[in-house]
Amino acid sequence: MGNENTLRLPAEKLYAHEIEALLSDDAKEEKPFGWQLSPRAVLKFIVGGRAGKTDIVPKYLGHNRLVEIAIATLLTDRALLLIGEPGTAKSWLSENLAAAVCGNSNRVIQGTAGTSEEHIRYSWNYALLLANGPCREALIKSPILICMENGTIARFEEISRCSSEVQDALISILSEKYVSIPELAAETEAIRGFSIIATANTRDRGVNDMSAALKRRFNIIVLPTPADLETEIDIVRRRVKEISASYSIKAHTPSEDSLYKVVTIFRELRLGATLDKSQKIKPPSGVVSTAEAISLLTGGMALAASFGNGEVRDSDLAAGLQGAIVKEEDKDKLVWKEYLENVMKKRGSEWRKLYNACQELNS
Amino acid sequence: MAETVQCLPRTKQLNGLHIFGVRHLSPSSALHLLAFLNEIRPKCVLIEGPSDCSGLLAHIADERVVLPVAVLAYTVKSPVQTVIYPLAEYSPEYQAAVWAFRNKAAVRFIDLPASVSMGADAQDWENAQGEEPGILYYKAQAEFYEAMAGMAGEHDYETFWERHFEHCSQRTAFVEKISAFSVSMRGNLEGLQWEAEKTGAARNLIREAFMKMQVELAVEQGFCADEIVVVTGAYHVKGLADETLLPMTGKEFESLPCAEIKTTLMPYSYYRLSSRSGYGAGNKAPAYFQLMWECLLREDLGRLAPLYLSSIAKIMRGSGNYNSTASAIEAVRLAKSLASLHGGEHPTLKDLHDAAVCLMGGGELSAVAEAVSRVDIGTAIGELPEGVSQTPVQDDMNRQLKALKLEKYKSTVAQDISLDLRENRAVKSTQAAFIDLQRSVFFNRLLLLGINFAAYRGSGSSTWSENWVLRWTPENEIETVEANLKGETIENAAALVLKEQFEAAGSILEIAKLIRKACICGLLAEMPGGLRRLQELCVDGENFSEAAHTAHELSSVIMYRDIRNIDTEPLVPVLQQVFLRAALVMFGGAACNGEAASGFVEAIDLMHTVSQEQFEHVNDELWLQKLRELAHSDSRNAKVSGAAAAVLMERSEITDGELKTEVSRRLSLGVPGDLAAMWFEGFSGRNRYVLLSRTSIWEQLDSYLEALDEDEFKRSLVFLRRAFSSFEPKEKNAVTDILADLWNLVPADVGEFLRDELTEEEQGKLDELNEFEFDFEL
Repeated sequence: MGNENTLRLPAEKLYAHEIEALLSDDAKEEKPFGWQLSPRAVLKFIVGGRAGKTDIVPKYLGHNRLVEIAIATLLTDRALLLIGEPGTAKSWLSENLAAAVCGNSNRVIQGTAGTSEEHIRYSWNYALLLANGPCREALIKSPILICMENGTIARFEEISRCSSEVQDALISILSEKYVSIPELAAETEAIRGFSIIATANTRDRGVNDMSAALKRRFNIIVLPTPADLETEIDIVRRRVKEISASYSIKAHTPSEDSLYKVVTIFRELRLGATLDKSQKIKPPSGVVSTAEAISLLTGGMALAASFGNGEVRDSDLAAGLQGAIVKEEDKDKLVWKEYLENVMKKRGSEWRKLYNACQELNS
Repeated sequence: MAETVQCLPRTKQLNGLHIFGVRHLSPSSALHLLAFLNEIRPKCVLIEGPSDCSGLLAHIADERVVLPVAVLAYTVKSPVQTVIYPLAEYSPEYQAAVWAFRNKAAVRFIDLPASVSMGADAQDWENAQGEEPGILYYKAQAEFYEAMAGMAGEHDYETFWERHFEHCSQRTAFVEKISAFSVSMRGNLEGLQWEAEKTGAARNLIREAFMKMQVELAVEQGFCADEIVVVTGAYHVKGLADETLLPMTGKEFESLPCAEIKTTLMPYSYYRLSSRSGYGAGNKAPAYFQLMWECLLREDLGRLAPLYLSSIAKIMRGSGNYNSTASAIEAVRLAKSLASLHGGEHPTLKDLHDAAVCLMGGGELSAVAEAVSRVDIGTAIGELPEGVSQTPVQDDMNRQLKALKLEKYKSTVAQDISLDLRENRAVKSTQAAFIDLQRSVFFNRLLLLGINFAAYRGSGSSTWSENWVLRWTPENEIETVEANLKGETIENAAALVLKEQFEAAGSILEIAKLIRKACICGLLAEMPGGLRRLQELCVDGENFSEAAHTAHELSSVIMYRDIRNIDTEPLVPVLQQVFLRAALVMFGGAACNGEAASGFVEAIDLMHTVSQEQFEHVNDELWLQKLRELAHSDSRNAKVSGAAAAVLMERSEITDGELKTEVSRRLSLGVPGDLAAMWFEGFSGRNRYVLLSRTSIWEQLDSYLEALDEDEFKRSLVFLRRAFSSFEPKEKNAVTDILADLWNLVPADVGEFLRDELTEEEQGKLDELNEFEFDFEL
């Protein structure tokens, strides 16, 4: 880590200068045990502002109150669960919160169907175990165990993808706040400051629905899709700029006009109605999230940089739109066609070029 | 007295006058005011409130009064305007009044009389026609509030207010803050108000001048200035203290517009309090503020959050949503840490809401919304003891309850009562003989007025009996007071409501229903106007269904006349006209699709009923002629034609020979199978006895079905199934008997075969039919 060629830097590295500025600005404030910043400084780190002479870039836009609730939760006994549609910046918020609170967002369990209880508690280095028998050196601690020991924040991504047995292992950890290691006749107690930020996807509900017992250990915050067009455009603009910089894509950032068009199309398909609410639209089968709009535009930039003249053209956007929206071939193709004919075509000359490009691809 | 707020140095007389600025409906304002009063112990308390309502203060402070109550002022002349000044237990004005009475201090309202402010309203309204209202000003006001909240790092103004004012436990700090706040508000907005909303700005000035006049009056009456406390909205403190604003003179006062008004005290409810927003008029969470008031009185504001959140948990548990004590505890913690993020010690309502959503609703507002609104708003309703400020309609209500021997029903427990509308011949006086009829009229009038004391529960088995459920709630008291706006007695008020409804009605059916209402409410004086409207609208009516329903409605009113002792003679010509109109437009309207056909058939049934009930009045000849036209037509909807034929058959207006020809014409191979079946559906839709007594029809149906090829058969089967689905088992048996006869089978065997369960194969075939695709418009 720390290599300048790292594909994606963790938040505490990416915004290291901001955290530093906040730290010095915040030096006199009282801080909760185990926190490097005061709650207000954490809030500032997430929603943006100024610390001394440094501008703090907003990381999560539009729903400041939710961020407040999230921070307040971390101050209490409970763990935090962020749920929402795909692409509503759950992981992004979780990472930035962890980075701001304890300066390390890398203690992560990435939940999958294959995650086992050992990933949550601890496992063994079997070579050492066989050689020396159970001892501290042979113990491999899970990120959660590590965080318990040093009173920091662990993250648990996609918690609802784990099987329910694995989820159950969390229940006692969260209520008792210790893990017993019978093999060593020892137990690890959590230090103050320990907490977990978990994320779960609303589209996965029912796959491995969380038990009521586990849910009760979490404060649940539902992250909504961006409240209005301007906020969403703002989010997309910022993230596209950041991502293209870190991938050093040699293309101009997309024009305001294409940002506006892409976000409009996404919002309309998501809401199932035109922005002015005058016309109903059939939504496609998949999710058309803000995150997807961001990757579509960066994809467009990559296309423009590699095969075009560096300007994101309508045909680049059309290719991205086609891929983002048409996920189930037959159904979505019809949905997209209907949208093109009923909505986009009637929007007049500014939309005509994009319409033509999309139309060509979707036929 | 450093913390006493502002002084009036203009004349020496007013030196030392205490003015206490409050926000209306604010618990902490009330608390600090009480402490202030206890300290100063004034001999005279002057409260911002319409001075012509001062007489009600003694009632307001009555110990038997249960809050919330409201002072209601209304104009006598129509259009009736109203002003409501609601008071809760935590209203500073209420607490001031109670304090004054307990401590034997003089107390009165000193704001502009309601008669003047309402007189001015009427004038403004006339002047303001076509003028832009002061939107610009209100926008600026909202922006100011928002900016104040923003500067304090809060998300909205109410939260800002609660955190900085309601939670402020130091009186000195509170007084300083609230006066600084209103001074800056005045400084920022007053100038703009004069530009954008002149009438409002002028009104403020007039009110303040008037209040000053009232203060001077109190001094003239012998109170020393420092024995007087003025309780007023914080906004007015600066105005009252402003030396350049002179008190109003008597002459100036006389030149103000004035309306004739009445005032009364009425019970109020938290629900109503919460549904009116805006400064002074109400607040969004009255029950929550009541809780806060109770906590403040115990000097324990820290109790509020646990109390509030555990109440929510309890309500949720009560409705079957499990919520542990642990989650309530955690919610309190979360709310507190949210508050501490904003530098507050106690959570605000917004913090509590968010904590409840997060901890108890699993992140979803919808899960806790009901419980939250019950704890926020609550169901409390005020109560006034008897004898306190009765309005004419309340008096009338009590009089009528007594006269109709209904007093024992005035309880919160629901009680049934069944009425016999007929004359009771066993008693002597007419009053007693028709007491049930009068009760019915009384109940119906209450319904019309929106006083939900009696609920109608159907007429039972006969037209002369009625069942009602009676239940008296405090809410009824409020509704009764509101009826005063319409008239002096229940009868007058109901008549006015009915008249308004007649004027607003847009269709003949609506009017016919209102005419019925006029009859059951015994308000016949309103009927001629309604009949005129009905007649006017009827001329252009093209809708057969509506006309048929109207005719039926009128007909049933006429049928009622004996039981209800009413003269329905004026209805007859209108009925004739509506009936005629309906008969004339029927044929045109009958070209409809399958969906509309059922409604149309129903309308034909109603017309048939009317023609039977009112045969001596309506033009039956024309009706039959139109029915025949419809029955024989091939261009109309087949089902409707079938229904017309059935009516003719029932009335024996069609000979057996004609009927036979008609049936065979309809059920012949040349006609598409589905049309034939639809016709049969309409035809078999009414009087089944007539149908079952004519074997020849079934013979014809049988031979027709025999002749169909398979595809055609399937097609018509779908419709025939639908037609027979409305037959009762007994009727179906009769049909099988007839068919068994036709096919020379033993009826019992056929019946048994049909009653057997379906085999899988048969079921499969039926399912196939369900998927039958139609290539035409039904």
